[in-house]
Amino acid sequence: MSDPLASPHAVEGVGTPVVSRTDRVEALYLQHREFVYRLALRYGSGSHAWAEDVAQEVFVRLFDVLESLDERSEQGGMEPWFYRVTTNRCLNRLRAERLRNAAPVRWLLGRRNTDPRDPERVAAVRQGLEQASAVMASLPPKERVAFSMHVLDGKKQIEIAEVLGHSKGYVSKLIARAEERVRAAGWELPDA
Amino acid sequence: MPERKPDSHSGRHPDPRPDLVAVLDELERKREADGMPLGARNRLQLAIQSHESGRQTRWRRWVPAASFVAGAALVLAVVGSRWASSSDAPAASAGVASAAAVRSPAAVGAFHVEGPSEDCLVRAADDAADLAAHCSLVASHMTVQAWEAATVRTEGRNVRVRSGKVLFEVETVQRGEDPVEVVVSHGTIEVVGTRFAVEQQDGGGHVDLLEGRIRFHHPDGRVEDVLPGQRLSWGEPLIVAAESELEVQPVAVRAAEVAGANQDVEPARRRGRVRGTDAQAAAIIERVTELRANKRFGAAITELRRALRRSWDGRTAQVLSYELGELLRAAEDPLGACEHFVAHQRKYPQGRYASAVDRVLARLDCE
Repeated sequence: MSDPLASPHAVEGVGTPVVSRTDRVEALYLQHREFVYRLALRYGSGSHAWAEDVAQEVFVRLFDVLESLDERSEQGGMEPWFYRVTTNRCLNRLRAERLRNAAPVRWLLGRRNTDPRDPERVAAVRQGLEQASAVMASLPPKERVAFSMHVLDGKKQIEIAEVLGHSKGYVSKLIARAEERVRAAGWELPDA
Repeated sequence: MPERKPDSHSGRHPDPRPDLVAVLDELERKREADGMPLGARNRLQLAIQSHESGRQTRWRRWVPAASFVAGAALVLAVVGSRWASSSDAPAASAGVASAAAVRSPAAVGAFHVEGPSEDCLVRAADDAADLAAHCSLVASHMTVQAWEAATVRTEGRNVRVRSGKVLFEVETVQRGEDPVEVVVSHGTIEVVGTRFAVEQQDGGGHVDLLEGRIRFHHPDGRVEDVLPGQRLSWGEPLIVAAESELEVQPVAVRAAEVAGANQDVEPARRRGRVRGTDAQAAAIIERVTELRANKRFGAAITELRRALRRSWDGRTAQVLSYELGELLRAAEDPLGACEHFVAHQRKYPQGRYASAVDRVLARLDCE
């Protein structure tokens, strides 16, 4: 496979594109699918179906913005782009699900709570990891995402603010609230 | 995990609290080791391929429709332009007047008449003309456009305004040529090349200088310079607006003091004279000072915002921008002032007012 980041306008001789769009997206897919999927799996509480949907949305989005990503990709690699887009897709989904699972909306739509059950989660229960997953799932979406980025990915508040499109002060509040909830649920957190 | 919650009575934990981050890290590592299921990989790859082929199909569906619309628009444009050219009267295109102006065969002295209709010249005798509103007298060196009905008289290459409101646009006078003169009831305006508006009524009038430079010659021999943005009146009342506020400290000087390090910002004006390299900027600052002295903050802000849309040298732009922020603050618009000063700081991070802006931002408690 040729270099996925090569410009489609790169020329050999008389200006024939070296790599087609589809080839470039497929190359990027092979390179980053595990990263995107794992990130989505985290926010989907281990649901593979959920993660697969998010990953598909991310790579479909890649088609639309491929041309505009050329310069950025040459400078700093594509991973930050995938990180940002995947995180925001997950956040949007979590917020939509929270709304759909709100009691009045469920009553209006006549639906049951759609708490995803997945073999992964069953395995997690067996390994005693269910509680950690549950406390994360209990956090409001924004707090959950900001907190995860902070403690699991080691992102600074300013970086989280840039990814989520909020101010640093707001991100700081989100993280502080999440930490408060986690501690109230009986968990310990390392000192900042 | 209810069994691990702190005891509500003693506040102590029944057993050591688990570390959430360590558990989540373990979960992450486990998911990373498991990797992406093979089925998910294949499904995603198929989805990407089908999306791309769908995109291409969708694009191809639009091609015939877009081609049809473009062709139809082209035909309509050609037919429309042919119809317009066959039905319209010959349109004048030269000059400062409107592109649709009608050039009349009538002439007043060395000037010909242009305007939106044939009825521009109401009366013409002895080189005098009653011009209808929006009509113009045009010569190679000058255009005289009536904003409302006006009576003017041509005197060679010069013009006398008897009544009405008239806009003058005068070509720059070359070295060695005599300046153009516009005569009004109480004096003569000497023009070197400029745009200005004259309003003459029975008892007096005034001139507003829009661009360039003019001198007003009083009958008693006094000569006054008028700068861009200034108004000079004659008859009743006779004042030069920008000189009526000499007691008010010039804006640029005060801004320089606030900044504390503006040795190169010259005082905008002393004793009615502008010292600086940009007379237009000085005139704007004068006008803003006058509006501010009269507590007309809204008008002053509008004036500065309009001015900032134009291109200035870095020093002038910073002076005007800083003054706009100060005006917003004076107008009790702290949010607007915050927003403006933040933008100013972003634009001129090492600018001459950087420290002053920092202090203002701190005082306003801007985020």
